[in-house]
Amino acid sequence: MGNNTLSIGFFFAFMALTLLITYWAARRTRTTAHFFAAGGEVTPWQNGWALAGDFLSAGALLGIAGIVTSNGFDGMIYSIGWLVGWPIILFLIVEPLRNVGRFTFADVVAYRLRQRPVRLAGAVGTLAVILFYLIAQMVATGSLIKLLFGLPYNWSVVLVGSVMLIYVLFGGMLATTWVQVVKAALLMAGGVLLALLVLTHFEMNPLKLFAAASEKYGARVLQPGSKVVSGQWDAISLGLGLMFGTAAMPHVLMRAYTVRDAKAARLSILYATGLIGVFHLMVFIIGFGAMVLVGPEAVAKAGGGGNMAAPLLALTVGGNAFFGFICAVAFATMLAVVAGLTLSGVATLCHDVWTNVVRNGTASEAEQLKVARIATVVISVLAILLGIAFEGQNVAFMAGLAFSIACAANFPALVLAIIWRRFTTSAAVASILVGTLSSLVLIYLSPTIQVDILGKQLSQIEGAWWFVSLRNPAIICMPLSFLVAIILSLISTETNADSTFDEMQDRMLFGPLRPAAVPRDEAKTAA
Amino acid sequence: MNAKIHSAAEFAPRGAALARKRLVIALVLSAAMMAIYFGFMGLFAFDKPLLGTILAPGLSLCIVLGPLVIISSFLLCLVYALWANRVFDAGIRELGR
Repeated sequence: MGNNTLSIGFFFAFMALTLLITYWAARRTRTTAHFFAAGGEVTPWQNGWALAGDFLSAGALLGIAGIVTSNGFDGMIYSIGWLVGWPIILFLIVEPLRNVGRFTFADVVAYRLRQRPVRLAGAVGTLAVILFYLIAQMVATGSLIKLLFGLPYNWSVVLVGSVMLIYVLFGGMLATTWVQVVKAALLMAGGVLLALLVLTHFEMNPLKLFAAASEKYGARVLQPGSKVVSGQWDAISLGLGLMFGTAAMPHVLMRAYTVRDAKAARLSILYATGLIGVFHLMVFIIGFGAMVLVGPEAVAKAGGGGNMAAPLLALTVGGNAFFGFICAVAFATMLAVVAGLTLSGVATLCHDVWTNVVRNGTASEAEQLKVARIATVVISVLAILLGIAFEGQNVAFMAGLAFSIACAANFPALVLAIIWRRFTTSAAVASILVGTLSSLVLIYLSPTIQVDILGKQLSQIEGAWWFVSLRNPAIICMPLSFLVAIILSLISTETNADSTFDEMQDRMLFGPLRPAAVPRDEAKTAA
Repeated sequence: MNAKIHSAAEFAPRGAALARKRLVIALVLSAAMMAIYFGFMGLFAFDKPLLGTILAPGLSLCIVLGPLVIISSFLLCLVYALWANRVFDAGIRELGR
């Protein structure tokens, strides 16, 4: 299977470059504003690439290409779902977020409300999302590296965990941003090149490619099927979860703070949407290319549940060197995504939980940085241990669960805090907790856990009173969370929240009245 | 952004109209995005045969509509960004003086 030496060479080049960047960034990371937000000095273009880097996981290239190769069109359902949340971020969230908050989305939710309860609830929602997404990524990473490079699973997990620890611990947001930019550029270059090489076999005409696929495997590959997403309402529910989950992913939202102002944040979302859209169109071509030029049988035989489709295609159309390049890009992708997730978990632990709940907003700069670094080590070690603990387990549902919690717990509270004057503390806390808990409970009672994980027969549990047939709970949890928030807001009154709405509105439009370039004062003005 | 310091009493009138205008545009564009996406997902969930209509060799309706959803997401973003860069930001500068 290809030449491992080359891919390991590419991979070490990436590591060397990113570690150099980390060394450079470490010398510029002196305050929490640098550690969590790169000092607000990232440009819109850099941030657009970094957002794409943060969001495009190995699943977006290897996973979707694999689904398309074996099922045809249906893989695109995920591509589309992962994109349509971005306009929602742009229209409703990113500018208020940038102008009102500082490091986390809870900054905005808590702005008018009572800090401690809202921040704690926000931390529950955020950490649940981060934890499940991180486990899913670590387990996928371990098995993919084993598949691509032949490195033992445990070593892969430890290696990825340690390198991400170095990026985040020493380089903070500045290093993480550049790691994302480099990775996104490599991923786009690899994706575009692979798609173009495929199209050279079909006179540069995608329709010829699709026609060849349908000639070989039947017209069904061009038509929607029910293998990838089964159930009618389940498809709608999946769509809700992907759209609004994307719009409330903590590591994505956090990037709004790395740019200078709201306009820069707006532009970076626009660029990211374009980049991610183009990438997903490429992956569709790549998936069909692998179907026709490699064949679903050969991909299935290579193991890894279809994940080898893109690398094997690279081997076929570009030879050993390209195979090595794509493998290395996949590795870089996994590394960058877990680094971004870890950093946003650290921001929540340090800024929300420690500074604003434990210390009531009075922690010194030095203390916050120290806590941030300790939190980085804790989350990284936890990620490594959980990654090892879940080896070989079916954790695919955890990524879906993360999106569902983000959609049901974080999104309603964030949007209502931004647009609704009557929103109150009890409503925010209750909606976040209800969103998180209901997602967990409904996933547990669904076939996702009961059949796939616990191995029960569907026919045995179908009749049980507690059985939930939806595999994706968003369609129940998100309206439930909104409903709880609206009812509680209407029956409780909070004078302070009401009277500060105009002030927040003003800040949403005009931004914070920051003291210009006096970083030491920033701790006091923490949102 | 070179805003001067404002007292709390000034907050309510300043920018309220502009804020409302942006909220309306944001909600309309969000509704458009949701209509496009859930229109597509609705067909995917409830009318697979229609989406599977073969239009030409190698081209089915879903292969036309799927990428169109992706492209229209970007175009909606572009519409908002152009409006915000030109109209909204100008309004903010006007008020901030």
